[in-house]
Amino acid sequence: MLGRLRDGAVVLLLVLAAVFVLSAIVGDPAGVMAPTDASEEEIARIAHQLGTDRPLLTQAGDYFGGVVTGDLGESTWQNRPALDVIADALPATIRLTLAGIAVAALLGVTFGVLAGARPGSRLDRWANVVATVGLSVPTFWLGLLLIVVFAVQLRLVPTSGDTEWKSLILPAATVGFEHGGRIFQLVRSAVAEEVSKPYVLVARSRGLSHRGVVGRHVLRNSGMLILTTVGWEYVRLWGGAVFAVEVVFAWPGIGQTIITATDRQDFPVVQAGVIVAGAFVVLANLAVDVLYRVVDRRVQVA
Amino acid sequence: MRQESWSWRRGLLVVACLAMVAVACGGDDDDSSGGDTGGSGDDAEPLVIAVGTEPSTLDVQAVNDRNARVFTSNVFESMLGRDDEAEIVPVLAESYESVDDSHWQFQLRDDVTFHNGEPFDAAAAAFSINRIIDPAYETQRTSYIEGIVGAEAVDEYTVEIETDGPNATLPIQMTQIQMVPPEAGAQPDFGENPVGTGPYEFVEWQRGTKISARAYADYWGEAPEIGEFSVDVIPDAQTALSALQAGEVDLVLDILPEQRDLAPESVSVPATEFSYIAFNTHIPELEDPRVRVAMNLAIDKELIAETIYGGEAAPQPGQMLTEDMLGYNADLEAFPYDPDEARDLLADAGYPDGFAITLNVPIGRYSKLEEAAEVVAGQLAEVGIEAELNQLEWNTFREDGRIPGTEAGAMDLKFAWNSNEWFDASRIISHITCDGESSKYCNPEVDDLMAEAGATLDQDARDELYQEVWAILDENPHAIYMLQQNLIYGLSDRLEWTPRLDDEYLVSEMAFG
Amino acid sequence: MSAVTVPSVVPDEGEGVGVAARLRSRVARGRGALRGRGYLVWVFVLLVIAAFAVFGDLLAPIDPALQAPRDRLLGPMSSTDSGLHVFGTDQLGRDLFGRVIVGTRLTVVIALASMVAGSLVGTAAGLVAGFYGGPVDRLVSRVAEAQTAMPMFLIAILLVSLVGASVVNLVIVLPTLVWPSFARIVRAETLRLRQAGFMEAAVVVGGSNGWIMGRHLLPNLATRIVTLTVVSTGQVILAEAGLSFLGAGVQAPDTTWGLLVSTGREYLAVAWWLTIVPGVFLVLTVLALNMLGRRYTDDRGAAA
Repeated sequence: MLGRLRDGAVVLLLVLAAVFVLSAIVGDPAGVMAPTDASEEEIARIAHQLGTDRPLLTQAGDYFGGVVTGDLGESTWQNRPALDVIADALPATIRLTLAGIAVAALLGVTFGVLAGARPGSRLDRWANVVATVGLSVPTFWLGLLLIVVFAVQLRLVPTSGDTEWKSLILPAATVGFEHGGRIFQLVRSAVAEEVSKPYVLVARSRGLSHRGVVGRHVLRNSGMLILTTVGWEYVRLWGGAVFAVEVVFAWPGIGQTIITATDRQDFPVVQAGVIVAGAFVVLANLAVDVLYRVVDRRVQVA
Repeated sequence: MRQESWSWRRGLLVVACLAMVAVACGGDDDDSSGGDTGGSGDDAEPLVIAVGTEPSTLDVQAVNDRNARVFTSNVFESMLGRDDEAEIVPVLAESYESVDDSHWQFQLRDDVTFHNGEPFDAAAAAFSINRIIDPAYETQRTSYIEGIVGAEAVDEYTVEIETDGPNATLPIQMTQIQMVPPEAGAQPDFGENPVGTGPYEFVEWQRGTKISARAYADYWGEAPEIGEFSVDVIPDAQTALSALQAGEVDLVLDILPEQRDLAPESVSVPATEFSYIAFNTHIPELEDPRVRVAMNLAIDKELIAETIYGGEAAPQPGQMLTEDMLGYNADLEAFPYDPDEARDLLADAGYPDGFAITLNVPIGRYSKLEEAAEVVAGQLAEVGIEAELNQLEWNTFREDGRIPGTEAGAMDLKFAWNSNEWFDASRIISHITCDGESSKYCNPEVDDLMAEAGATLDQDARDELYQEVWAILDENPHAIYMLQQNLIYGLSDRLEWTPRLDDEYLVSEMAFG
Repeated sequence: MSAVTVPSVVPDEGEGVGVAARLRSRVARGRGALRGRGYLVWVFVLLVIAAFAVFGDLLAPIDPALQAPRDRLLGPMSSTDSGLHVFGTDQLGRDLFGRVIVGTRLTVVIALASMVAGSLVGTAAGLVAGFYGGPVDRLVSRVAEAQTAMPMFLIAILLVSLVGASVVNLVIVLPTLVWPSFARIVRAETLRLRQAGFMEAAVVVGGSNGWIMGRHLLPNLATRIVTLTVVSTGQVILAEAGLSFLGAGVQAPDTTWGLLVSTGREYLAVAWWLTIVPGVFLVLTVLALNMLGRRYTDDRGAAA
């Protein structure tokens, strides 16, 4: 357990270091903030305001010291702590990831179990095809397609943003379809493997219906595995795809904020965003690890 | 033993999950506060204006940011302003005059108070001016404070401003220096709690979402029709348009020509934005004025205006000014589209087979410019000039574009735009004098005229001098004069508003219909 | 290490595919000839894409560089003086089909280059880790694990937007998304062989390390590596598209499908084909790769 925690800390440290090293080499936040035909002096003045003209070591010291105290710098674009900017955007991202994984789990687990319980059936084959298609589709493009069909042409939902409850539908569906495919594959193979075990045959021969066997025994045995699969997929979400979805739907979460901050060369915010996202990945990873150990023990105990 | 560690791990898992859920639910509280701003009994919903980027601060003197201006122009006022013909008119000052070459005096109104009760008087005016010109304050509005040395109160309602030599544009500058209260203005959080003299007072700022205001009961002027408004931050253009269609937003500031039909209502107004392609006259190919005239003739600007801009642009009349701007020369016309003449001129100048050159374009900011650049390159090719498109990221473009024409690395051709919200030809001075900043053009005649114009306070004299400059440029151009773009606004059904010419958005001029 | 390691990273596709493939191949053999021909479609798709990549605008029905501002934003199957625009025209009046064809080359080149780099690095890392074990193994495993746990996409965006978005930078960043999977399976297989005593036997016979790796390890891994390569190429294509879409990848005037989707997005409400059509090409290509990857695994029986 401690080893896992230490690994998590190492990862976080790596993320922090990577972000700092990268951002310390960068160009010119001042240049972007000054008006179109600003003079050299104006830009230098703004650079001084931001502190980007200090030596690297000083900046590094401030940076790492700041992380410890929770001070991730000041957003050059919003003139308030970068962490606040990200913190404001965090709930939206969390809502989207939770809704997305819920859809993914719903689709993936349901069809995975149904398909895995009857390998080779028509349902199985079709579900496989759909899942493969889902994995071949670029997430952002799928989102755009859904916007065109449901928002622009059919006007059923808003095209983007987070203005009403309906706004969550398309983004969650996009994320869900994308990750549901992978969940489906893993659940299906786990269930199929379980179904092929001898005890199933034995139970069937004792008179239990296929559905009964699946419902009672197969699911219980593979249940925890399914849960951890969903958990891992949730970790994967934080690794990237959800941010592309945010951009497509102008969803006011961390991903959208980071991209906007990149446009404005507001590196404190980009840094803060990557760090927070990294922290969440580590946290989610840790949670799933714990879950897996619970499974492991359960399996051993059983 | 095993049982204990089991529940400890479980507990950790549960805590982690709960933490996530808690954070997610915590964010929803933002929505509930929306209902509070309309508490005064007004049954009309507040007016909503959408902007693309959240302002960094509401301290009007600090930044030169249109997104902030949309809000602050309703909360703050200056001593002078512009009417709907863009003429300078008195606002907080009743009259003004130049006392001598470097002193001006402004007579102020005596019936104005700031939203927090502080009185507006000469002391406040002097404070405001001294605040913005203070180098320690580090404003971004540097072009508006150039040449101003200081201000001081002469009596209760007279303030005197000292300039660094004759400064004919001081009145223009006074339309852009807003008045702030001495007490509140000295607070460090003024940028989050703006206090001004305008018809609306600040209510609250929900970061990332909206900034709201309501009518100020003790306003010195006419009470506005609309009681409350808010400026909502919607970074994505599609979302803003969608919100407009849904009736959640009343005004979107920039919509594409192609989207005009999608908005409930749209209106466009010629902006003070002029696109141009600056020549580096120091390179051999562009030294001869005939070559530069030829390039002006080679571009079919009307085609670009009609197609790329969907008709929401017009070729510039041979100068980067409109009729109501000082220095406008009514005798000049836009260069016609005449590729044959262009080819002849090129041959005369010694380039019968044309030449190769680089056209630098900024990307990512203004897609219409990128599209126009591609068409321009195509049209230049037809008269033999192989223009290679060099698409640069915005920051790089600015930096490289600043290299003066005489140095290595300067851009041959720079496709950019200027905005002339000063309504005055002197706004582009740095671009066309020999040692003007980032200049790529050097014509002693132009320099002399510009210097003369800068030294006088006589507006008529300046007007004539600038007209002469443009006449010279007509034969010896410093750029390919492209288009004057329109600003296209998307309006909701209920909004009644005529856009201003100076890119200001005054809710006091809006009404529900 | 015990035989069952507790993975702290997401199980990669390879493992899932294995079991599923086993079952499916049972079914496949049962269905016989009819099932066997399905994969030809995908081969055909990839051949067409390859042709586009190689021959580029030669295959375009209308010159993709031809601007016609008056014919801008026309829908699919519109006719103009230049001919029939099967997929419509873009904001400068250029034929969209032609533009997509032109974008194929760079998309494919970046994907292949990144795949080669990623698979080479990953295979080498896995071999070294499994072969030498000990601290080397721990180091490689840790790096792979740590990297998979980081929000790589975000870091890629950060990196590319800071150091500059260019093709070269993409080919440096993209392989990082791919090499851990290769490293993992190669390492596992290497360990297995090591434990089975192959190494000692080989040493006794007098073979060098390199010989062992080349003659024994790689052939055993061939199937899985091929499958992984095929499927990972698809992932790399999608990743590049994503990065280019977000502005952190390829920049104009270069063009890839991902970038086309991005530039068309502005006109989504009035000219949906600009965004959707390039995406369709992406989907078909990646789908073909995924389908063929599975097919290959099926043919070889179990992937384990």
